[in-house]
Amino acid sequence: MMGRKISIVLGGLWLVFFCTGLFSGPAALTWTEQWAALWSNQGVASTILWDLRLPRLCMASLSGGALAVAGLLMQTYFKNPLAGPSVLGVTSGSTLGVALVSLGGVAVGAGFGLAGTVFGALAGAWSVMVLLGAVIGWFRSRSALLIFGLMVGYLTGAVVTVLQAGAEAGALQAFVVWGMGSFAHADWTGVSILAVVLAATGVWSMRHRHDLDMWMLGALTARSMGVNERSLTWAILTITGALAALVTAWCGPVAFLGLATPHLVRILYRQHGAGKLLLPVLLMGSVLALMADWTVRFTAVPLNAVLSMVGAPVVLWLLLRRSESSAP
Amino acid sequence: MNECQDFRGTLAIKALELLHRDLAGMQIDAHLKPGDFMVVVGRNGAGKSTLLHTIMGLLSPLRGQVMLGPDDVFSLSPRERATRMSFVTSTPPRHAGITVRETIELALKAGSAAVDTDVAEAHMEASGIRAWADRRLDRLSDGMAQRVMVARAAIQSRHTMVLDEPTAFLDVVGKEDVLEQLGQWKEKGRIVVLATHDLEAVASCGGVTHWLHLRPGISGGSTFHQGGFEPETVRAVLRADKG
Repeated sequence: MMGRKISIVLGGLWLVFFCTGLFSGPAALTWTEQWAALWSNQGVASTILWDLRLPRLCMASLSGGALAVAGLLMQTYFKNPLAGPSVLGVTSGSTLGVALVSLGGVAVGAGFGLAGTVFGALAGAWSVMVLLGAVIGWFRSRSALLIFGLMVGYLTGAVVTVLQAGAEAGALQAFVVWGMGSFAHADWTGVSILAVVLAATGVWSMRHRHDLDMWMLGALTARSMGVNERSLTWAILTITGALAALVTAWCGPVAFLGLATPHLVRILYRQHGAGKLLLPVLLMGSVLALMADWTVRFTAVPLNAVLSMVGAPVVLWLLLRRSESSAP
Repeated sequence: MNECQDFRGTLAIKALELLHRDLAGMQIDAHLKPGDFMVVVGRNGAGKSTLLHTIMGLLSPLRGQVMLGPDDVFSLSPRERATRMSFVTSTPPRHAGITVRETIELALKAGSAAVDTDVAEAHMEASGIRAWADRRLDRLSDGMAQRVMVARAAIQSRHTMVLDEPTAFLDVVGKEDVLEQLGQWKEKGRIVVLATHDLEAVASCGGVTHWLHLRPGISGGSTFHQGGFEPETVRAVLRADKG
């Protein structure tokens, strides 16, 4: 009951931010012009709404939701409250993939195409996920997993630096700007692909919500309750890798949304089963991404700077709160 | 809930050898029928956990069979197995944010029973955990959480419950609670298999019908005893083992 209320409030907030974003901007357009443009496909106003604002708002909503759900699935699977796409090195893997295509590709004479970026991001994310799946049995402690992510980040960062050192000025600038994160480069292709993958993730998660809850009871207990560990592991690694990679390909390595969003929802919502948290987490991610994007549009501060300035203190506060309130 | 439709049958461990290099050559035989309560004893590293995981079908054996009625455990699908056998580990879940009621409902789903709220409520009442129904597992003490896990196992499978040192991290009261609960499920016709070091606590709660002594090593083997689970006797045989 409580959860439904939270979802309704979040849904309302999402609508408010979406509409505000759609009908406001630097272009001097009146309300009537904008309303008319929404229903036509001619004129400057129509181009602004349909080619710039709508894809951007859709991409922000979907990316926020995707990262938040990826964070929730990772935190559930690894039974680690600090897991998330950026923490476990998945985003770093994607960044390396994109760098190899955009900076390394330019060096060998290939173009910086969208398909190449998407391919690079997916290949990078999945490589890290496969590595994670292979070594996960060796990690006895929860902190080992986080150190794994940190080290993957350092390694990919080193390779990216080498690529940057040898890159052309134009490609380098494009890559650095991409790395700051932005929902501005959204297009309908990206929006459609992410929407389909996110919908598939939602269907999968709802079908497997009992498996996810059983998994929280411990791997052995879950297996004794009929959960197929191998298929669950690979499904989670594939899904979260794909979500993080697609967002990274279109919007750059977006920080904090995946890690922090599930926690904010857990504070609001008393029950923590994976199935129950799914919808509120998705909505909260969308709302936070729209709020961040709104700040970006009206202050010109890059997306990752906005998210880090808010996200880092929030995560620190969450850690302090956790260590105070409950024993591990 | 029709008890007659539930699976009824024996649990037979036949010439079983465990898949572990230190445990090779130790052949295990045991035969239990509904209402039997077997305690597995052995020194550290004697293969108690490995045996329990093998019985549960979570680990393949080197040789031999574990039969549930007419079926080999390894021929059953994980879902089917979950309806006939349930498992409790020594560490209670510490990071699960689901409530006690949700845990019991999950067990009903795993046990392929329809989730009937009345059944769940009645079961929580019978297990003495009804008062915590709406509390989250990660907010319970270890002892309370472990009681929930035993209750969870009891409703998941009405046939066999396998427990790997469920009382290892509990205080005296928690131990007695959990063991007393196990005695009840045995009386209701469950086969209970329990690995433990708490000889006195288990013996004093009564109900033990069999015990299995694991003794790996060159001259080792296993001995299946019917009755006579006395802490002094058991301690004497364990003392004679090379640790």
